[in-house]
Amino acid sequence: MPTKSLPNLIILTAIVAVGIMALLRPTTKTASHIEWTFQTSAAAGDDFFAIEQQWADDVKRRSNGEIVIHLLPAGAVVQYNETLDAVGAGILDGHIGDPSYFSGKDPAFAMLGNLVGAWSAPDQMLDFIDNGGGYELYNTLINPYGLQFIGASATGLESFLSNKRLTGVADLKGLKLRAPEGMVQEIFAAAGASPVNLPGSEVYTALEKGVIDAADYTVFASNHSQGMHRFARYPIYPGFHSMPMVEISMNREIWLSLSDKNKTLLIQSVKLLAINMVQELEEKDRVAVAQAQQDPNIEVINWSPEERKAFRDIAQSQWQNWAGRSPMAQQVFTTVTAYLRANGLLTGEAQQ
Amino acid sequence: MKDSLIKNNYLGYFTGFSGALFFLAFAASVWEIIARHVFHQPTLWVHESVIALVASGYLLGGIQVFIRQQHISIQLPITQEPKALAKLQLFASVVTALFLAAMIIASLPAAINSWVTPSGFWRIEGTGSAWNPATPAIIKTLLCITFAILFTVAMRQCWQRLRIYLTHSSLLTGTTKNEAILPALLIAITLLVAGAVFFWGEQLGLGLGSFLFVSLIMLFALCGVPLAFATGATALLVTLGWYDWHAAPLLTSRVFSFINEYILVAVPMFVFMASLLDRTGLAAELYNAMRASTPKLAGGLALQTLLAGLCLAAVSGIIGGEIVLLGLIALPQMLRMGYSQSIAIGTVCAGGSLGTMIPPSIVLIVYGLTSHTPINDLFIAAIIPGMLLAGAYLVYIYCQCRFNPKHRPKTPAHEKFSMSTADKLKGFIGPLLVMGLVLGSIYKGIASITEAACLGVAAVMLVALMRRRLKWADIQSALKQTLEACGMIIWVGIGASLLVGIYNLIGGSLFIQDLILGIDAPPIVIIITMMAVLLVLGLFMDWIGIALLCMPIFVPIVVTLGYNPVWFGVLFAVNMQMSYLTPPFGPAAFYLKSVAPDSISLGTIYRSVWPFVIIQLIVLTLLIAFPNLVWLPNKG
Repeated sequence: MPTKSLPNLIILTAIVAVGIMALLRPTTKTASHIEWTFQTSAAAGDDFFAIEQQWADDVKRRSNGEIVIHLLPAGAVVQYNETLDAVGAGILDGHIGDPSYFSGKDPAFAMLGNLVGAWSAPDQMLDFIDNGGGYELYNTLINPYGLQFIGASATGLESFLSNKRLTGVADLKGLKLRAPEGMVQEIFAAAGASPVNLPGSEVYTALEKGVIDAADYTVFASNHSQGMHRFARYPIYPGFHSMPMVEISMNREIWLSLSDKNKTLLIQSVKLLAINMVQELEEKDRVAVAQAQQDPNIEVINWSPEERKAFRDIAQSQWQNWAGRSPMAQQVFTTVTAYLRANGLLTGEAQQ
Repeated sequence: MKDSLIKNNYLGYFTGFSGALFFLAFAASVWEIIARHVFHQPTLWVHESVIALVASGYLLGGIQVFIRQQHISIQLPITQEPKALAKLQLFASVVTALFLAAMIIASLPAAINSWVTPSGFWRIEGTGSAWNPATPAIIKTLLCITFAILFTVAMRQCWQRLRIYLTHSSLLTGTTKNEAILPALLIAITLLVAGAVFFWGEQLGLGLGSFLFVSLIMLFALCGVPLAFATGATALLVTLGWYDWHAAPLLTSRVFSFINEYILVAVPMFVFMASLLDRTGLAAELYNAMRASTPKLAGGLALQTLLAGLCLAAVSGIIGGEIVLLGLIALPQMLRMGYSQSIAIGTVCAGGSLGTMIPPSIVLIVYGLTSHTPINDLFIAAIIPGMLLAGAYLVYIYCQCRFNPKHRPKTPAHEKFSMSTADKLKGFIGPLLVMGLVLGSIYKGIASITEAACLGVAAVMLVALMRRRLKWADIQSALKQTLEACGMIIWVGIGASLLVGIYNLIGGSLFIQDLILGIDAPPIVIIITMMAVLLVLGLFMDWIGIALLCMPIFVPIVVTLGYNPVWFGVLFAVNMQMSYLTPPFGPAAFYLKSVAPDSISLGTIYRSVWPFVIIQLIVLTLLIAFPNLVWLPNKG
């Protein structure tokens, strides 16, 4: 063997050392408790986040420390609209968020996530999930992606931000407004408004400077604490346009490996989360609305039942369009309309 | 000039095509503004098309820059000995190639899933909007193709470097050993650290783990791996060390989300605008006119440049764009007129990064959104500290130019630089028109911040056309510059973004939380520790990553300690301004490097900005010591 020069010797030693490291690779020890990482679509400062954190703590308490869930805010590991793939691939163990973010994968996500014009209160939607076939339907949709649906919560009716005084559907004509992906955009377009696409981070300046007249953004209390109402002086509360579902799902393989006791525990804890979230957000909204009403610069507008119904009619007329876009969307349409009809909630053109 | 890795005429077609993507994005944005205001019919297709075009542009830009071997890398004179150098370069190439090969594998699932549903049906993934274009599917596929092309180029580079190495090893035998030992040690240590992260992963614990990643990035970078790939490779090793291949698509997902970020769209538009201003000669005219009309003040032009930076900051708040703009326009002019490199570079970087403080700062908006603080309060609170910083920069530049002759132009005092009033007017009017249009369209609510940058491009073209200066060749070369600048900057950002994602997943935020909560000391010490953590993170990450990682942890603690989150937001903004300038990850330096002449190295930039970093540190200390400097609107 020819004599190696010193530099080569050094490198060779390092390679050998790395080889030894590989051999000494420690075996992963089995942990005494389960640790999961969930990512939510809420920003860390949001009220939602605190409520969801309480849920994670609650799960730990109920399971006597057996299940520990680390909750990460939106964008921490992957972008908010990429969590479906990440949970399916087992990168994240679970996610909390609005199914509409995955509308690009299947229009059925948009219809289940935020079926504009279907629900006038969170309870109706949650009842549909529990008793109207929503739970099974959503699982049929996401099981192939490798996810298991645990349960749903709701944020309540979002408030609508506006620079202009809008008292009814007729005022929406020609309105420049920001709306996110999903059904909302199309339904506003059907109502005569001009939806503009803007990311959440530009909503503040765009509204302030008047690039847009109005925005579908978030719940009243959050809008108020961010100071949106300083210039968007005519908020419509309760909103008429959007009531997203908040889904809590997890990786299906992990779900299937759980004991029945733990499965029940998770399902129960999510039900409690839904109740807490709806109540707490309503309470926060109530305080913020009272505060806003004191302010002479802000006029909180509430639409009349007739105007609300007029908007719902427009929305429902669009459902059929969406239903045709994928087999799953058609199934959602059939199930939801059946439920609404049985409960006497269906108005307008979707009724046949 | 470094060698290109493929034939130049093919590269020319590729460049032309990729540059055209930015032009289309620009044209579409302008059309959107017209459609919205003239026809009162906002389009549904522009927003998503622009994002997709620009995202593709970034990817192709990365290829272009790699082929031309211009990716940002740290070049330290580790060795002069040709054989050892060749060995080091070969090692760097192999690391890059391995990383890229792994990324092809990591990006395959996302690309396939975007065309086929899990149940095996064809379904092209759309954006889910009312228009619902297939752009996600296209970009995810392009991502996979990009990595494949990059890998091919990297293999070619490996082959070339292997041949060089073999030639040297056959030629030279008796070289000084000391020269050769250092590179060998470097390679050996890098291998050891990489091996530890890869094989032992989770067992290292987060404390030691965090230290090892940071070292690994530095080691890779020292070996000559471009920064983008050095961070990326570290992120990959961490992913594989802590998890296994099933987690690798996380990296692709991060890249995909990063290039689709709407905030970044303004960056290519600012580069395009600045490059046009430069190439049409409008920038030179402006500086001549400015010089002729300045009263005799030491460093007058540098001071004016800083003020221009302040105005830009008040307009857009997009820091990268501002630095590129100043770097393209002001830097060559200041150097031409005889300012020292350090003053010229420092002024551009400091002036350009004022955007983090002056409203409408995107940093403050993101802080407000993540911490739930009223954005308007943040804006108001940041004004005085922002002015304080700008004032301190002005004083520093003035003193340097006044008392140190080597920094200022060597024009004898009696010689007057004069121009006719008409020429002066000509010089001022074009750029002022452009600025007025950009400023006005934002404040009048005609365009969003990002769209305003596109309007700026249109305005420059218009002015140049009126002055009969607009040439097709100029637009082409400006597009080429845009492509290359974005290729360099965005890819460094991609690398950092990969690291943030995986660090959060392995529990980095929990680690930092424990670190802060573990301190048993008066509140002010905790605040100072937080600042120190931000500073350290700022050395390696971009501010969006830091905000996501730390603010969820810091803000609640700050509130519990009884401090005002608005005040903390201002501290954060000052801190992020520092992180913009500090090596090794100072985005401001990268932005400048991407447009600066080849003679200005990254090292020169870092050496020039340190006095400004010290000024920032002083201001930060002042703000912590005298919180009243931050005017809090809600208090009084």
